[in-house]
Amino acid sequence: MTTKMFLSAISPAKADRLYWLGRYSERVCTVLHILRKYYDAIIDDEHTNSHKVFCSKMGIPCEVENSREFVHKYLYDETLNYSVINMLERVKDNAILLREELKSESLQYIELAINFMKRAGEEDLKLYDIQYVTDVMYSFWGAVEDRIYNSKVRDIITSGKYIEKLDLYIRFGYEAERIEDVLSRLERVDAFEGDFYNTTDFINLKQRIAMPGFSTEETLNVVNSLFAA
Amino acid sequence: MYTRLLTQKDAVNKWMERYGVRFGIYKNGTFKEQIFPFDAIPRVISNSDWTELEKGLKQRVDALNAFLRDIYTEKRIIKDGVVPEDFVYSSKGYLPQCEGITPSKGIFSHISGIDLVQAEDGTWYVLEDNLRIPSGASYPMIARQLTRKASPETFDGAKVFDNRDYARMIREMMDHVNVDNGLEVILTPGRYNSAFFEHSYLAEKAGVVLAFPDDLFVDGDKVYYKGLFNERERVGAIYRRLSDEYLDPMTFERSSLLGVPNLFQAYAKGNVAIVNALGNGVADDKGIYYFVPKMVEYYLNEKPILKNAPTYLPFYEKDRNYVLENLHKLVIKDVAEAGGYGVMFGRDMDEKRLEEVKELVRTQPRRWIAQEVINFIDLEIMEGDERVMRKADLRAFVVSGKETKVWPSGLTRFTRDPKSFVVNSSQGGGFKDTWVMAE
Ligand SMILES: Nc1ncnc2c1ncn2[C@@H]1O[C@H](COP(=O)(O)OP(=O)(O)OP(=O)(O)O)[C@@H](O)[C@H]1O
Ligand SMILES: [Mg+2]
Repeated sequence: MTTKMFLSAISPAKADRLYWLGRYSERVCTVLHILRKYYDAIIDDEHTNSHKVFCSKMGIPCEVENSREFVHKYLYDETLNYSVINMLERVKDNAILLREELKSESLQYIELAINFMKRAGEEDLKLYDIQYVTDVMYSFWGAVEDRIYNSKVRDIITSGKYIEKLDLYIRFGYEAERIEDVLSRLERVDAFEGDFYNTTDFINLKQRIAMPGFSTEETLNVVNSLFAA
Repeated sequence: MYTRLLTQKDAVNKWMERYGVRFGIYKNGTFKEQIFPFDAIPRVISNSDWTELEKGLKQRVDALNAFLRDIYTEKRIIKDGVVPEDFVYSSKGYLPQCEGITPSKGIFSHISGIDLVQAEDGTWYVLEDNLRIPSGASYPMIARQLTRKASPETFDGAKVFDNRDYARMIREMMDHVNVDNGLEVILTPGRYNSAFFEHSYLAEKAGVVLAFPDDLFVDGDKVYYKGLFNERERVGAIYRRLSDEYLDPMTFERSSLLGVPNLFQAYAKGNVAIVNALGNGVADDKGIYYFVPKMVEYYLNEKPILKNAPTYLPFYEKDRNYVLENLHKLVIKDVAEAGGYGVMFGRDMDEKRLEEVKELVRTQPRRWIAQEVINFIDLEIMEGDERVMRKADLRAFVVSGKETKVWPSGLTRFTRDPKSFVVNSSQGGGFKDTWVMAE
């Protein structure tokens, strides 16, 4: 691999943390958003299968029959590695090591989100009552834009964010325009001109998505290996 | 002066939570993050007290730096019989590997944390010098920021020295010792270090890179920061928050996974500044402490401004006899321990324990020092809505770069136990901001 751009002072381990910080933060936001849509169906019928559909799209096991019970566990159960509380823990694991880049002002939103989520779990708050988590996560994204002035650092987080968005939009069968929009945003992220990702894979991905009825599973593999470097 | 602040104490604590102000602690082998209990009532130091303290602290740290330079080179102080050889070479902090090495700009202790207490009559006593990795400055720093946020009126017209420029002081010092204008980093062992919050906060505020051991490597006796595309960036100054023995597995503790292999060689060749220097432990040893006032006279030819607590070295026969006779009213400390462990008060021991300790003093005199108990002042702290009095000490921070500067603040630690004198956070203590008055 040639050095096209001198990314001053970002070690591989740090880049990895930035990337996963972006992915997990985005996962929290988008998953809560999607979950709200599915939850809407549960309001009318507790015995709907909608949570099973959700699980299969997310590629997670679905061990409970009851939708409400599922939502509770999915949000708060610390023993399930795919629960929302654990997504937030992963956000924090990465963020806490990046304070000097994110700045304390951005980091505080993650503290707020996770502290709130823990209390919400104890009090069994319903999905609509945790809008606050979405609010502070959007604040976090705003702070990332505003407070980080090393553009390379910001770019790596942002790429993580768009990769995650792509992954979720593909899983949940979003319309092609939405997916293409994310792709074009990803393309515009500056850090990734050149060797950071595999250009051939990227073109391949674009072509795939342009085809109606593309295979979700294969496309997801491409998405997730884009930055394996 | 700070009554208004007290009405905002819950708000301040909320901000602390938001900012993740914590310290880590190992309990039964598992790592836990705890909040560091903050008491909103500041310790106030008058300007005249501070003027004296400041002079005394500079003098003391300058003498300690001179001692370290001397010990690892000429050893005049030993030859002249001021400090017995025994105390130097048997100290755990003395590193024979450092013989002959003079660090960048000749500075050994760049950041010194001097622990003081104030006695009832107003006299300040130094209890201990911390010249390796003194921690804690970030807490009053962030406390000031957050109290100003929560209660701006409190500071309206209050003539308090601002303490938020600590990180800038550190940065200036690092710029001064930096070798070949390289990258400046704070080297942290990682998230599971008790002071990780401080490492990351200081990196943010000083505007330097927070580096983890894997981010650094040594090639051709120079230190580099590893970049993403195999590019490298030369490192000129490392503020390491990792103790000597873990710093380089090739030179010290072989099993250390935290260190940077061959870092010592790069340092010995003068290719990188390490803050604080290696081998400083010999000067903040509890046994060497006894000699610090003598160092001031010896190196600076000045009268020491700051007092030590009256200290006895059982190593000397006269002192040993005194300690054996008076143990019940003395404090005795194991020179090899830190963090409040190994500090024992004679008045808390029963007859049997007293005899046991006396036996230890007889058989291992070099292992102990004893001090008169200083009845240091209590400070007011809030317990719920009540004000109570508790013992408190002060850690002052002295930064030695181009000049020796004393940070006009400090970490005031207090015990929450009404019967205790031990203020360490690892023993459940809390902290206060320290206000130094500008006039
Ligand atoms: N002579 C003394 N008189 C009264 N109290 C004392 C005396 N010496 C020590 N103490 C109390 O015990 C505490 C710990 O003492 P000291 O600083 O010597 O030990 P330490 O184990 O090195 O702690 P640390 O490394 O955390 O500073 C002091 O902060 C003080 O509260
Ligand atoms: Mg001490």
